[in-house]
Amino acid sequence: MGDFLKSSWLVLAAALVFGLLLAIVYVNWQPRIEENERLKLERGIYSILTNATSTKADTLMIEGEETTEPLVLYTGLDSTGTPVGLVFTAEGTGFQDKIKLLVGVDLEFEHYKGIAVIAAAETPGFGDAIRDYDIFRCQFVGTPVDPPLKVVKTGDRRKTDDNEIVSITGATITSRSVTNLINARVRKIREAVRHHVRERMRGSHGA
Amino acid sequence: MAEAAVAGTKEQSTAGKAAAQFVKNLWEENPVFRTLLGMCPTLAVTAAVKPALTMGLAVTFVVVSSNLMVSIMRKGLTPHLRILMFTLTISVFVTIADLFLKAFVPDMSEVLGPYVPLIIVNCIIIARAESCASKNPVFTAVLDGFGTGFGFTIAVVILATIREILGSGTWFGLRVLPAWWVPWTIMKLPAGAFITLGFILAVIAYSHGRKKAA
Repeated sequence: MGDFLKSSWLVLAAALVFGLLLAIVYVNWQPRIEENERLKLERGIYSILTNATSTKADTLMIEGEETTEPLVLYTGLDSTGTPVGLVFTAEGTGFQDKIKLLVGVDLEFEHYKGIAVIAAAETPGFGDAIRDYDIFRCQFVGTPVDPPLKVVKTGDRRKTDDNEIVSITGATITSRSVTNLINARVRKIREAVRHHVRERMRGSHGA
Repeated sequence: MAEAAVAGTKEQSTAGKAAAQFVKNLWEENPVFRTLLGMCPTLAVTAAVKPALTMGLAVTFVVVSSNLMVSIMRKGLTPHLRILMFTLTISVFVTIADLFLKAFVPDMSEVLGPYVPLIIVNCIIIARAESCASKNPVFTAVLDGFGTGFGFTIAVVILATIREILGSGTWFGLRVLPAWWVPWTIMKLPAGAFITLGFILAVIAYSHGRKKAA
């Protein structure tokens, strides 16, 4: 025991001191970090739902085949408190790292309202153009949810009344992964919301 | 009296030596250009000047703090626990730097992503802990840390300046090249980092060779 302490007292002391130091720093800065994340999310939501002045967050449970996952659905409200659209997150694998998006749809899940990029580490100069409104994001404004979005290599980026998304370059990796993850996510969430509404109506009938 | 004078000169010589080491670390023994350490962040975050500068300052903070701590505990370091203590110390300050960026400069934290936590394995820092801080008094170690950190910052900013101007036509986010300039996208990619670093190293090695010959 004496030997043990003699050779390791410095490690123990340092671990204690450093642990305390980190705890102090963390407690002081964590609220700020959370606030930054919240602001970023909010900025994303307002960039999609341009006429919203406030947001409301609801948590729904999505019943998967194996697990039930919670889903946060943001509803944008205009100045009179009328809902103007829904926003949810979508996450998938990009070219180098995960891509995390916010996707906006109208209340009926018929048309997209737009997308915003929360996190992505795509190739600079190529894939990272998903952040660019004129090159990529504008194609998701007013685009119908059905039929599923499809990536094409050439076309008019301004034309948004069809399901075609013009890829950023001929190498369609990022464009395809974004489109696929939106297609999958929007259907899953639409199903969950409709299920939720049906349940609620059945519940109110019973009562 | 004589004793005090001796101590005085001794102190002065340590200070002088420390100052000399500080200057040396800036350029002559620049951690990136001369000793080729810390290549991962050098190549990864120099596509633009802003993230490069942030990384440089983060590394400076970590190397100064870790040199300080290692120097304070140098008498208690046993050979077999040396590396463990270095890593423990470095990781604490890297975590602090990471949290600081997340809290106060979230944009940069996002751009730098995993490269901030990766400062833990930046061999510049462990090299300074081993070769300087664990053998020298606090003053020398801290000054050495500043020299190394600023040397690293200078190097990454030089690299980022070349890459950002050629790759995006901007410097520090401001447009410097005319609109007709076609950006060299390759400069923003890893290949551009290797090419730029290679050219800089060649120029510096050439000029050093000439100095030696002269």
